[in-house]
Amino acid sequence: MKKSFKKFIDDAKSFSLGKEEKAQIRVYLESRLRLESNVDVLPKQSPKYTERVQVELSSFPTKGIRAITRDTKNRLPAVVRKTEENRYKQWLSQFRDLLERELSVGRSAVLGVFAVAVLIGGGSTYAAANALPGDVLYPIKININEKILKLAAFTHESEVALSVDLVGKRLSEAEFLAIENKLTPALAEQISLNFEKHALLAEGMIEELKQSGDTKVVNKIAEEANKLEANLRAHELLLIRLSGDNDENDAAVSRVNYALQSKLNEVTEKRILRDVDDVKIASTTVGLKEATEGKAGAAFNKIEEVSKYYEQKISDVEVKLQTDASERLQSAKNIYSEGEEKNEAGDYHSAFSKFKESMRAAEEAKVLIFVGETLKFKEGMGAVTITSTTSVAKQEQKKNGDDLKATSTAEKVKNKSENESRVNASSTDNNSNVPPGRD
Amino acid sequence: MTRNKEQEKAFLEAYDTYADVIFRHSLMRLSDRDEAKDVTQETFLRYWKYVSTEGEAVRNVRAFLYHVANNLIIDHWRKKKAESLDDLLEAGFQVAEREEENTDFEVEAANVILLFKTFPDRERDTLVLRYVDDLSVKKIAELMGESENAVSVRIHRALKKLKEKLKG
Repeated sequence: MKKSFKKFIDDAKSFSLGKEEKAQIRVYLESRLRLESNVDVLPKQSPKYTERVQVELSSFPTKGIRAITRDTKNRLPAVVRKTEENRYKQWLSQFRDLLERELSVGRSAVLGVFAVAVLIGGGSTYAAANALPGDVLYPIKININEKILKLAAFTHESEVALSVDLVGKRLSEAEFLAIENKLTPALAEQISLNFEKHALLAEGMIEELKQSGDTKVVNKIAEEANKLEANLRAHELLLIRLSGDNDENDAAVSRVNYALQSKLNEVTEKRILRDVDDVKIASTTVGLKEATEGKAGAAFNKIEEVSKYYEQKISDVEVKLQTDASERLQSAKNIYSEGEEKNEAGDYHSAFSKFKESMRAAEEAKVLIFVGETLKFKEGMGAVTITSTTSVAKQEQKKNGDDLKATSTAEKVKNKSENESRVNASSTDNNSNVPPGRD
Repeated sequence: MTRNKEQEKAFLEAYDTYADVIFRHSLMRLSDRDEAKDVTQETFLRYWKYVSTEGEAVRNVRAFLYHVANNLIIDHWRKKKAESLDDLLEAGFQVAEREEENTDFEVEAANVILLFKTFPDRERDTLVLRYVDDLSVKKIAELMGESENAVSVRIHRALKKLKEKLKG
């Protein structure tokens, strides 16, 4: 582009508001000068304004209580602020009613509890927050702290996220107890029932919200589904390692692990079916190639995020867990590379699956590091050296002499979904080396 | 005239003086006329809020307006994607007013915008302030909170780059 500097600058200088445009904005500003604090009377603005307001409004349901109040005050145009304040007041009133009903306490106590919840940012009192099953304060943790968290979940997506988080918390409780040799069969039973309940709730909501048609919600839910599976896989690894040095502990750990394995296989089956739907949907909406590229980007970002997390936290994690986390992260990178190769070869369906799988592996590594920061193995514990989830499944099979029936179920489901999608027949070979229960 | 009326008068005078400057600055950064108008409007709104709530006149109105506009642009850019010329024009990119159906101007204008976009923010801002807004180095330095020397060096470097790009 050849152009004189003078011409270039003259062109740039010519950018200005037109007379009418300038006058329109001036009229608007003048009217604002004359308005009192009655902010509902706001004249219409440029065409982009309405669109922007809608975008701002639609983003609000995904934010927490504090974020809403902070953002409405600082960021939004006045009319939106008023709308959101009214909506928040209505929600607050409903929240109080719910709290009263659930906790059956008087109004002042409700407000007190709510104040604590808001101030501390989640409702957990310091005393009850770290209570374990069998502790005196554990019922407060479950029945009050976590109930407040549930009631404070403003949207369905945040409810799902909370349920997934609670699955991980229950399993961590089992691990803490196992390390202390305090995991009795009764406590194992209690923990298993609790985490199954949370997992069931999460799965149910995931299935329901996947049909919502809202891309933001669907993407968020897919992320939570990934986290749920990754959580279960990571805790599977930890529980296997925690087979105790006494029979009762061992039996208790096995009980929790058996419940985990069953849930993991259910979750995996559903995920395999959802993956097939995802590919179909991607093919008919944005196009599989574009969707695959989007998924590649998301997988890349996830691996980066977990790599940074790994670097920051790994020195706080017990040595054997460091190895496991490192191996899962490496696995995530390897699977990602495989996905790239498939993508370049034009096999978008396989690439799409690979990228999703790499995200799950990265999430598993993250959970291992997260739990590993606080889980301190005692000397001699965790004698079984685990190198991969495949090895976990095989070793458990060898140990218990049980047939992993759910594995064959997962295989049946996988075969069924493969038959339904004939175009994917060529990709089934790529799944032959995947550990049991996985895509 | 009451204090409020004085403030209103001063505010509207500031608008008449600086609206085009702020609009042009926003347009260079946002590449969209409607968005640039929104930022311009919002900038002056916030200026009014500041003046009316603080009750004090702003010493350097232009600098204040630039800072507010820049913050709004940063907020906006978090959602904005990079665009090529084709994408810009296809997506209904508009630099000229709707009444001007001069497609040559549209393309020329788009080229100017795109060329400016190839510069880092501070270099672009310095070039625009110096050659489009005709500000002195001293005033630019005050605006950007830098030394005159730093501004001069940046102008020299950016100008050289601009001339090379213009040669094609």
